[in-house]
Amino acid sequence: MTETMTIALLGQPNSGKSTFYNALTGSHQHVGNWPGKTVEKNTGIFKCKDNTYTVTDLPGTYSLAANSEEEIVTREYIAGGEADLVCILADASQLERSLFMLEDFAGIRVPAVLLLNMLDVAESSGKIIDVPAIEKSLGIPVLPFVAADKKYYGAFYKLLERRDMKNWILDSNSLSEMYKSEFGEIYDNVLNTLPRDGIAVYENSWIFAKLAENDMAAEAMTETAVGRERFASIKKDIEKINNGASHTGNCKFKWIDEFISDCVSNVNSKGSTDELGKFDRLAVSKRGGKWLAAGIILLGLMVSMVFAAPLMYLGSILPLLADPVSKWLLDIGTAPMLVSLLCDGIWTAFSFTVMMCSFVFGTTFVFGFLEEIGYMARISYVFDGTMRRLGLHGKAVMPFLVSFGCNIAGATGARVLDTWGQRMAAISMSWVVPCGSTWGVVGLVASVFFGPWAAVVVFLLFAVSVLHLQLTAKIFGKRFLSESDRTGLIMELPPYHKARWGSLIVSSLGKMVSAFKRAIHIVTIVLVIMWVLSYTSDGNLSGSILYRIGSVIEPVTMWFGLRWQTFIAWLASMMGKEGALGIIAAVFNDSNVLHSVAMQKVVTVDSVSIGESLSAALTKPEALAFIFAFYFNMPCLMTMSATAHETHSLKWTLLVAGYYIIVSIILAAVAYHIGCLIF
Amino acid sequence: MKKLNEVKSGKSGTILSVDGRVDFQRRITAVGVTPGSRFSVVRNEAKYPVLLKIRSTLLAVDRSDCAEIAVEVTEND
Repeated sequence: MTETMTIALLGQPNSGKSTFYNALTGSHQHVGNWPGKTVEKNTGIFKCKDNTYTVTDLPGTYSLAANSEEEIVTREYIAGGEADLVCILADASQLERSLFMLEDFAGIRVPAVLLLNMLDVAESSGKIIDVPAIEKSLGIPVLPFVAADKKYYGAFYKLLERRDMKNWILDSNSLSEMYKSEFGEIYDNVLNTLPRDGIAVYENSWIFAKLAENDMAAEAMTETAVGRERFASIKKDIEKINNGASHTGNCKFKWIDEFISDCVSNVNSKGSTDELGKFDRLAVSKRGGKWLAAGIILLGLMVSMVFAAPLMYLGSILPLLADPVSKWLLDIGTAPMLVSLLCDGIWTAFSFTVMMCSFVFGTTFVFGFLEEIGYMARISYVFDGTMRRLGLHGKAVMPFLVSFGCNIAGATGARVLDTWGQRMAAISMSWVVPCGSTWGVVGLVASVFFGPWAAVVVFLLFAVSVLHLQLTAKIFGKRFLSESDRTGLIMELPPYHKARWGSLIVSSLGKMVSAFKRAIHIVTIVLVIMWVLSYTSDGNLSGSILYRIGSVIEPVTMWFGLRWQTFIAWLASMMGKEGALGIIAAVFNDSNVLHSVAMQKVVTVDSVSIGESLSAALTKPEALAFIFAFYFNMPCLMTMSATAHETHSLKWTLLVAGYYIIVSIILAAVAYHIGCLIF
Repeated sequence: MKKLNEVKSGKSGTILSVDGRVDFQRRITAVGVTPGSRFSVVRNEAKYPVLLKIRSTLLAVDRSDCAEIAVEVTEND
């Protein structure tokens, strides 16, 4: 008999949930969004003995409170009854804390099992867990588990075949007793006013706890269920409670403590030490911490370029195919214009996007690695103060660091943040961080024009970046970061562990592919427009629409210190920063623009000849204006599409982009006019 | 009675109460900081979040938020 069943995975961050999810579903995964929410929805499918199982990977949260969208999504999903079974994962090596999720679940009448993950780690530290005793006290099946080890999956599959699943309801009696003794009369009063059988899947003790925690969603639900009058009387009782969340939390942990002392014994009685390890003493130290972090980040960025190299190479040889193909197409009599559109426009868009994706892969992989081994949390700790000055906290450092490699991956890196406001603010501020390609162009142009003084230019760029960052924080900070978004850092520094290379590669590739899919359309459209503007039958740029537009607008763009060529290069840099060099090479050499965009990686646009044609055509102030306009321009189209995807707000993404564009032009004007005074 | 941000590195004690905004209370509770629980401060440096070990977890908590947490420090520890 074929059956389909839906399983939800619930667990705190670092509980091994993603490892479990990836191992279960393999490549049969779908990434979407929770309807109306900015939270990613991961679903996958696996088959076992003719039965098909759908797995929903719920967002990793510490509790079921309604603090963030993630938690609201999680709760609504569980309460919605879509899942036939909820698998709660707890880290057996940190049972005390990770059982909190289980306790927050107690009182929800949805079938559940408990997976004691990372049992191997717990056992090696001397913990002995009495599984039958746990099962008895919880009333649900409990499975000792190691998500990274396939050996343990057989027992899990077997569990799914059992027929008594409906009865696997987590026992909440002992927890309700705790509430009763903690809150006394208030608890009794509220429970007497609530409907006898609870509301929907929620038992009364659960509802009480959430009301005591000032949970707005639970309040709304209760009010609808009992009517306004009875709710007012409940509310009156609840208001007598001070610091409710702390008290209910206390009850939950008391229960956990009792539970652990009953079911877990520690052979290694000296327990874990409170001392930091040798490496951590340096990693979080006041003096060395930041330097160590900076060193590791720099190394990471270099390594990420190595990882990006194979794809980057592929992206750079793809344009080479354009020549023979276009020759062949012309030979069989295709119209030259069509050949040019295909080979110079569309093919360029494709190879360009492939090349840019290589950066996404490299940086996501390296920073994913730092995250997974646990070092990223240390970086967040040492840079918390820096981030706080921008209205954010330490975790927000991730998108900024990743952006030094690639802004596209930086936007994705903001997922570590808790709220939409924090993500939106962090991404829009991280746009000012120059990616690897930006440096390539800035370095070349600055050294051609300013020689050893290029270092001063770079310093100036950095200094202005800091001001820019503060301006962005000022303009958008208030919009994005409401009072409730301005939370301080509360972060676990997980113990270091080994990286799981397989899942790391799979997830980096996944992010790269989705970035590619999102961007390819928009890059193609823009390149086709560029092609139309720059197309001439004889390949001579001076006959193109672009040239005509360029010469008409030059009097205006010169006000910002941009000649029409550098203006076009600046425009093109919105498509991709590395594109600017190719454009410069083309417009100054009067050759085919788009072909040069793609070819620049192969011939590396012979920097000497670019340098010569540049220094002949531009003055120093004009070069300075271009450097500023280029550096502070919005990152690139792919970053924009990634940002819109991550924040689900095209409106704000476009507004931020507009802001960057305008500011870059203004900064160019300032740089140009100051430059005119100096040189 | 002290506030958590006043406890020196290396000292340990017991959490007495958690005040402050409701969402802060909920978040700090979920990671194990509740009245009655034992903790030790691993690092406490000016301008850095407080690093503490609680329920066998190493936790970083914002300094100003730590002022909402009242603790009892165990002497001679």
